[in-house]
Order: sequence, then structure tokens, then C-alpha cells
Amino acid sequence: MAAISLRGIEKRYGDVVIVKGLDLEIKDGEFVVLVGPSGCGKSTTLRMIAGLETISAGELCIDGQRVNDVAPGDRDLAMVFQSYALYPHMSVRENIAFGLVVRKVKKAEINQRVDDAAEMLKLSGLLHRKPKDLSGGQRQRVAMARAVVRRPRAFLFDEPLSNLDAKLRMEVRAEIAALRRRFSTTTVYVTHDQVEAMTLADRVVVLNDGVAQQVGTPLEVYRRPANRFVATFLGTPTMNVVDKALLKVAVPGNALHVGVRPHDVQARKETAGALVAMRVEHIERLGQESFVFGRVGEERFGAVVDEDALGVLEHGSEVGLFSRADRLSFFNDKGLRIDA
Amino acid sequence: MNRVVVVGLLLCALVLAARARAGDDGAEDAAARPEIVLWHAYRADEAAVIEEIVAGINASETAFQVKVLAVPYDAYLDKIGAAIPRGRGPDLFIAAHDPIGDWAEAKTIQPIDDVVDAQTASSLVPGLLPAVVYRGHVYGLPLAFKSVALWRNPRRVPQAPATLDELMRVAVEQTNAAEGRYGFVYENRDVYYHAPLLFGLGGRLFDGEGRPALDDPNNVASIEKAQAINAAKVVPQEVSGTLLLSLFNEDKAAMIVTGPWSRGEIAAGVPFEVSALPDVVDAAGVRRPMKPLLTVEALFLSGRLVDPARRALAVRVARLLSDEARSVLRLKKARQPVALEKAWDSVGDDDDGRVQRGFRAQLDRSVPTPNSPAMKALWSPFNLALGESIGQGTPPSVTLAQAQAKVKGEMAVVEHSTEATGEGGFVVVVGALLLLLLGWTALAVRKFGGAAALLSGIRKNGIAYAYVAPALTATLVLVLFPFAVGVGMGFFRHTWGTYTFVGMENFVSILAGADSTFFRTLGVTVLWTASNIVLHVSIGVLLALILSQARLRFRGVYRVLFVIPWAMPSYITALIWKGMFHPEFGAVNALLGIQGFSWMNSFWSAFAANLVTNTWLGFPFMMVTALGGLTSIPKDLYEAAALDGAGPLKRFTSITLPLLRPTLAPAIVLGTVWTFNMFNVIYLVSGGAPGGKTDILVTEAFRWAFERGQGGAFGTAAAYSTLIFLMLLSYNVAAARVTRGIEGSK
Repeated sequence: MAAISLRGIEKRYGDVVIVKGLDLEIKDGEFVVLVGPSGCGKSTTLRMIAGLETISAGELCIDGQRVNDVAPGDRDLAMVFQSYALYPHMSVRENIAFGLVVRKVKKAEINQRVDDAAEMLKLSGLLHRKPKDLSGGQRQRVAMARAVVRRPRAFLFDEPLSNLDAKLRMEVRAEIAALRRRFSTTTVYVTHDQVEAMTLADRVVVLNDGVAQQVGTPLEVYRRPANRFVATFLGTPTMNVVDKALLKVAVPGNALHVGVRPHDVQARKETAGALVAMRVEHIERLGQESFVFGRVGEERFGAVVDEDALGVLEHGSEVGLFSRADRLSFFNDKGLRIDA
Repeated sequence: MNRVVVVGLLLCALVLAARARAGDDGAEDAAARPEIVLWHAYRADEAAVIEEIVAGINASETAFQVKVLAVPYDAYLDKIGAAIPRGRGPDLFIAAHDPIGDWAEAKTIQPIDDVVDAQTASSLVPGLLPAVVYRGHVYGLPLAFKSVALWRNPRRVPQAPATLDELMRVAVEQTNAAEGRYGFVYENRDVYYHAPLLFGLGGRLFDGEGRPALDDPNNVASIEKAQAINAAKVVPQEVSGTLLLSLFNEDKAAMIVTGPWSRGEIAAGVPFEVSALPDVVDAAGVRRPMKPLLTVEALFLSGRLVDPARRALAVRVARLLSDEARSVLRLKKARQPVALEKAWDSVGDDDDGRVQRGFRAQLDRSVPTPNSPAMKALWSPFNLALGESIGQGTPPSVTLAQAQAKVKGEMAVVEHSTEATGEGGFVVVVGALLLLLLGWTALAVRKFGGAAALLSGIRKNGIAYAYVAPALTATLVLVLFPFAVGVGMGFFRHTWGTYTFVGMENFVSILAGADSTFFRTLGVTVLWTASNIVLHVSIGVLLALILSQARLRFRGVYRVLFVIPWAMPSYITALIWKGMFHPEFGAVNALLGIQGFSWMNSFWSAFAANLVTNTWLGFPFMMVTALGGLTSIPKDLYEAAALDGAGPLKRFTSITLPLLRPTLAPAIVLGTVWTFNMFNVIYLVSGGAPGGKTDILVTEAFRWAFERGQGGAFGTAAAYSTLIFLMLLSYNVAAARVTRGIEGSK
């Protein structure tokens, strides 16, 4: 159990800066998700925490102790790799036990802990198998068991679900959440999948170009994006961001753009009093809900539509778009959030 | 498919037609003018003179034609022994006299008492005739004689020494080790060059009954004398013919011992005189001349030459080759010390003349090399004894007793008394083996689904089979057939071209013979293989680990450099290393800062020299293989292990090694087979020294075939090879099982 703090952490390869002065305080027992598009520096950050990459500048502390130059094995962290990195020549049992064997834990204790971890992750019947004889989900669970059995100070996950199909992904996600509840061990989790970020995290760190764009609870980040990048990166469908002049709405101060999530916009037949009127170009009927899309100015704009109440819409119909005022976000000329 | 067959058949027909035509031409020509075939093994000037003489004969003689064929010296005796008994050899040939006994017994040659009549005999230089007489019959017409003599640099040694003591006084004066100069250089580990001392001190090779007598007390005394000369340090260590001549050419050897064949290799401007070797006084005060072994080059008539008319023509050719005009030509142009006394009248007082007279003087003080069949068995053991006594200072009484025992042992292995079955038996055994192979193929065919399935398979995939056919044919002809012949040969005894069926006797005497060195040699071979593989793999893996470091700069350059030892032909590397291990002129001693340490004098140092050489040759293969294996190990395994707390060593033993095993295992199997059979290094670097102790099975098999027995103990050698094959086969089967186990666990 550990608090991890990153102070001005940087990673450079020659002239290329991958991570630019990252500050982050991860509290003991907290589940932090690093999320961002490919190449944003999230995996590099995780690998610096793990000790697999050197830190070019800044300070990394675990429980207040500077660990920049501490070997990975001495940081007492466990990592689950995207590829699982299971030792192909060892059985599942040997894979799980390896970290304990290296640390010269007593044999009886190793067996006990491996059995416990295997039971927890439903691997008990598979302990004698080699990794090549396991399915993708089973391999993933072995990788987690290998981390759990060590009882490390923190778990590090590097896109652990990206090699699984959608259904498995949901199952394993639930398992990770369950593990988390059970151990409440500090966890740093890297993903590019916003659903994982939203569902698992205590706090989300949105990274872009090596810079933390926003740090906050999933709801904060979702409801009150700190800038246009965060606003458009999180949430499906993407948040609508249009010029303030296109909407009939009062904007605070020097705000230039107005953002609103499609879920927060209702399309109605009448246009009177609407934010703006829009011609329907495309309708997505997802069963539970339906979205209409059109253009406001040059920008694509989406809204929820209740066709049960409204009757079936057709392409080309004119709709009025309505939203609650407190669901609007405003951004200035630098793309930063302006609060009303 | 049909087209392929037709084209193939056409090609075959063309080739056959061309051959038939060539045969016809030859036949017509021969009918018109009989062709007498003459073989020789001369090179350079001597060969040119023979060609010139034959051209002259062919121009002047109308009744017949002489066809001359120069055969490479190294293969000469084998060719004679193999060709003549099968009726494919020459009508007459020129050769040294020493195998006369074997040839006479095998009827490879015929007595020519009628040719060398009293008149001819009296025209020869005295002392030559005994060399060509075997069991009371003359077998060869002497053409020339050769022996070693004393060569000196007259600036350093103005007067030829009259006694060995005088020679040694001068030699010591002329020796300056610091300047690398030596007074008296001769190949003191070679019996041929030791012979003058041996005979000078009353030694002998055979006793009165023609049995080997290596342990004769006078032989012991002669080696003690050689040890004394060696101890005086007037001779450098490990002299070879090349070293001797280069020292003489650089004015670093005042006196050397060599024969007329070295004449062409003396550099221009280097002064030299040739004279007879001096006298030597033995412990009892008896003074005798140092007598080298005399070799008489003679003309021999093939034992197959029975047709009187044809034989008369061959005799005519022999007379022409040895007549006065042509003897003078050989004396002058080819610088041969010729056998015809009258030709010597033409010798002038020029350089060549003085050299010739030196060798002529030595002739009167020489011993004809014994022409008994037993002689061949003596060389190698005697050489080993001499080498051990000179190299390690072992008392000659001990080494010669061992040599005597060894000669007897080898003779016992080679000479069993079993009835001859002739070549018919050989054909039967090889045929049986081929039948076995065929049977095995038939079984394989049945497994495949029977002949019908095979045939339909061939029809269906005709083109594919046509593509495979050349390789398949080559494998059959070049691998399977020789293999069957080789295995078959193990059941025979070979004596100068004659094979005698002896059943399992070769195997029995190898495996259970009282004098057999098989198990000792097997032990050395296993030690050799194991230590090599350990070194190759550990050095190879270590270098691969270093080269796979991404941080390392110029990785590509190093990789190429490390592969170079592998890319060089191994015998060149072996010869270079042999030179580097020379005690006085080698780089190894120079780098280690030790003086005159002779690597070849003890088993362990000679073994180490072989090992170093072969490790140099062997690590690149393991390195390249390991590099390939390393790149296939995912990086994140190391990262996972690092996070698990494994240090570099633990990561190596837990990740790298186990994951390299599937790649390395087949390479180790291959490397083991190569090393087990690594002939070049053993034969060229240590040459088995000291005393054959570092020989491995494959060099031992070679020695049986080419250095022992009568015309080669091919049977024993083949049995050796079969045993080697069986051992490697079982090793491979076992290794394959283990490897499959490893791969199964991957």
C-alpha cells in the first residue's frame, strides 16, 4: 500500500519529449487511470513508475521515498502487461510463483498464496498447464494472479484488456473492479478506452502530448472538461462544440465556444425557444435511445431524440435543439474552460 | 511429364553416343599403333624432362606410341595399387622402390631379371641393385637414386666435417639462439632423417629373420645421440621441411640435412655445398659412416603385362628411358642423380656438378630402404617413439619398447589368417547391404500406401519428382552407395588391392583386441567433444548476449568480425594456429612471454592447442544461432521478470537460457557431430602429438587407412568409421528425443 507522487516527471529521447513535466499525487489505495490517445505518453509514464524506463527529469516518490534510481524489482510494484508477458516455459503455477521464488519466500507459503490467488481468479484447475494451452482470458487472469500473489505496494496495469474481445473485456473489467474492492491496493491503470477509465477509476488523468490535460473524478472530467481536448476525447458520441454565435445562449466573459454533450441535447419538432434549429442528416437508432445528427454552422452536431413521443423523424426534417443551461460548457480562445 | 522423360532419354542417348565414338577412335588408333602407357609422379623439371623424352621417343619410333600420365604424388601409390589389379593401370611406371615387396606379393609388378641382365646391372652405379631385388628376383630397372646428404653454407662452414663430433663443434659455434641462428638443422623427429644416426651407430630396423627390431640397443643409442644433439640446442624445436629451408635461405642455418628435391627451393645467391654426412663414433669407439636411407627410383612393368609382344615394347621403352643419352638429359636438365654410371662422366665442375657429386658420394654410404611389406608398419610407431624421446626426453629404451609392442599389435590387428574370398566376396557384402537399403525403402513405400499409391503419386506429381530426381540421384550415388561400400569394407581385410572376407574380425580386434587403443581414443574423443561444445556454447552465448545489447555501437561490425573465423576454410585456420603454437617462432609463446615451450610435448598442452583452435572455429556458429534465438525472446518477459525482482543473473538463468534451449539444442547436436568428427584440427594442429595421444577416432581411422597396414588397413579403417557412425547415430536418436521433449514444453 503506497502513495505515489510524480513531480515534474519528464521523459526525453534525444530532442523528442514524450512526457512533459507531469505532476500527480496518487493517494494510498487510490485507483488512478491514465487515459489518452496513442502516443500521449501514458504507457511511458507507467513504465517510469515501474522502473522500466529511466526518468529524464523530475522526481518519483513512493511513500515519500525518492525511487528514481531504484531497480524495478526493489520498488515492490506488480505490473500486468498488455501482452501478459507470461513465461512460456513455465506452468501457470510456476508463472504465478516466480516473483515469490525470486524473493525466496518459503515454499509452503508460496504454495498457499499461489493456491489462494488461483482460486480467486478461477485458475485452480489450470495450474499445471503451460501458457500456450490457455485462452486469452485465462492468460489475462494468470497475469493478474501473478501480480496479486506478490501483495505489492501497488498494481500497474498497461492496457490489460486490449487483446480481449468485447465480451471478455467486460468480464475481466468486472474482475479487476472486484479485485480492487477486495485489496484496495493503490493502482495505476493505463488505457485508451474511456469506458474502462470511467468505470474503474477513482480519478482519471487525461493525457495528451505528454501533458496532463485534466485530473479529476470520472464525473468531474465528464461533466466539467477542463478544455476542448478533454471535452471531445471523453464521451460517446463526442461532445458538440460550436461557435457561441450559432447558439441562442448567454455566454460568460470571453468565451468563444460552447460545448454540450449530445446526451444533454433534446431534439424536438418545434424550433421556438430552441438553442438552434437543425436539419436532420442522419439518425442513429440504438434501441434504447436514438440520436439525430446534422450540422450547426460547419460543425457536426448531435442530439438525443425521443421518437416514441415525437413520432418518426425523417431525413431532412427540421428540429429544434434544447438543453439545460447547467449542461453547457464554455471555452475561451485557448480552448480552456470558462465557468459561468 | 512425358516431355521431361523424352528430353532426359535424348540427353542420355547423346552422352552414350559421344562416349561410344570416343571409344571407337581410341580403338582404331591403338590397332594402328600400339600404345604403351607410362605413369609417373614427377613434378616441375623432372616431369618436363620425362615429357620431353617421351615426345622424342614418339617422334622417332614408328612401331608404337608412348602415352605418359602424370599422377599426383600423394595419390600415386593408391592409384597403382587400385588400378593395376583391375587391369586399368599403366604398362610400366616409375616409382620409388620401397613398396616392391607388397607389389611383388600382390603381383602388381613382375620380375624383370631378363631385362636387368648382367650387362645392364654392371652399367649401373654400384649399390643400387640390392634395392630392387625382392626374394631373389629383380623387379625394377633403376633410373635414379635419392637420399639426404649434408648441405652446408660454405661461408659459415668452409670444410665438410669428417666426424659428427667435429660437426657438432662447428654447429655449436654457429648457433646463436638470441639471433635465431642454428648450427645443424634437421628434422630430428622423423625417422627418415634420423636414419643416418641409426645406421651410423649400428642400429637396424629388422632382425635377421625379417621381424621388426625397433627396440635394438643400438637404435636406443642412436636416439640417445639425437637427444644429445637436441640438448646442445643446435637444432630448433619442431623442425619442418619448410622451416629448415627458410632458415637456410636466411643464412640462419649453417648446416642442414635434406635431399636433391630441395635444390629448386634454395634461394638465388645463397651459397651451398653438398657432401656426404660425416662419420660417427659409438660408445665402444667404433667409427662408422652416418648412412641415410637410399631410395631408388625405378621402372616397373605391370604384373598384368603378359602379352609377349606388348611386353617387348614396354621393355623397349624402359631401355630407351634409361639409355645413356636420356640419362644424361635427366642428369643435366632434371638434376636427377641417375643410375647409369656412364652418364656421370658428363658431370662438370659447375654448381650442379658439385651438388651431384655430393649426392653420389653419399650413395656409397647409404642403406637401401627395406622393401619388405612389413616396412610400412614401422614408420608411424617409430616416428612417435622418436618424437616422444626428442620432445619430452622420455628414455628411448621406453619409447622404442612401446613402439615395438605397437608394431606387433597393429600387425596382429591387420593380419588375421582367414581364407581369401577375393573381390567376389566384397561384391556380395556390398550387394547385401544395398539389398538391405532397398528392403528398407520397400518398407517405407509400404508405409506410404504400397507401390500402387507411390506410382499414382509419381504420376500425379510428375514434375515435382522430376525436379527432385537430380538431388535424389546424387544422394544415392554420392552418399548411399559409398556408405554401403564403406560399411561393407569393414568386413574385409585389404592388402594391396586384394580384399579378403574376414567377417566380424575387424570389429572384434578393434573392440576386444589386447593392443587396441580404441577405448582410450574414444575417451579422448568424448573429452574433446564435450570440452569443445562447452566452450563453443558458452563463448557463443556470451558474445550473442553482448551483441544483442541495443546500447552497443557498431554491432553490425562486430557481428561480421566474429563470423570471420567461421567463414575461413578450417584447414587454413588450423595451419595458421599450428604455426602460432610453434615453440620458437609462434605467436602464442611470444604473446604469453614464454620461451621455447613446446605445446606438442604433453597431452594436455597439445590437447589445449587443439581445443583453442577448434574453439576459434566453433564459437561463431553458436553465436549466430544464439543471436537468432535471443531476438525471438520477447522483451517484456525480461521486464516482467525485472518487476518480479529477478536480477540479471536470475533473468539469464530463468528466462534466457530456458528460452534459448529450443534454438540451441539442434545446434548443439550438429556441433557435437562436427566436433566428434573434426579431422582437420586434430590432424593439422597436433597431428596426434605427443605419440598419437591426442588422436580422436576419426583421425585414428584415417591413420589405419593411409598410414598402416599393407596398402592401407582399409578394413580396420572402415570398421572404425562404422563404429563412429553407430555412435553418432545413437547419440542423434537420443538427442532428438530430448529435443522433442524441450520443444514439447515450449
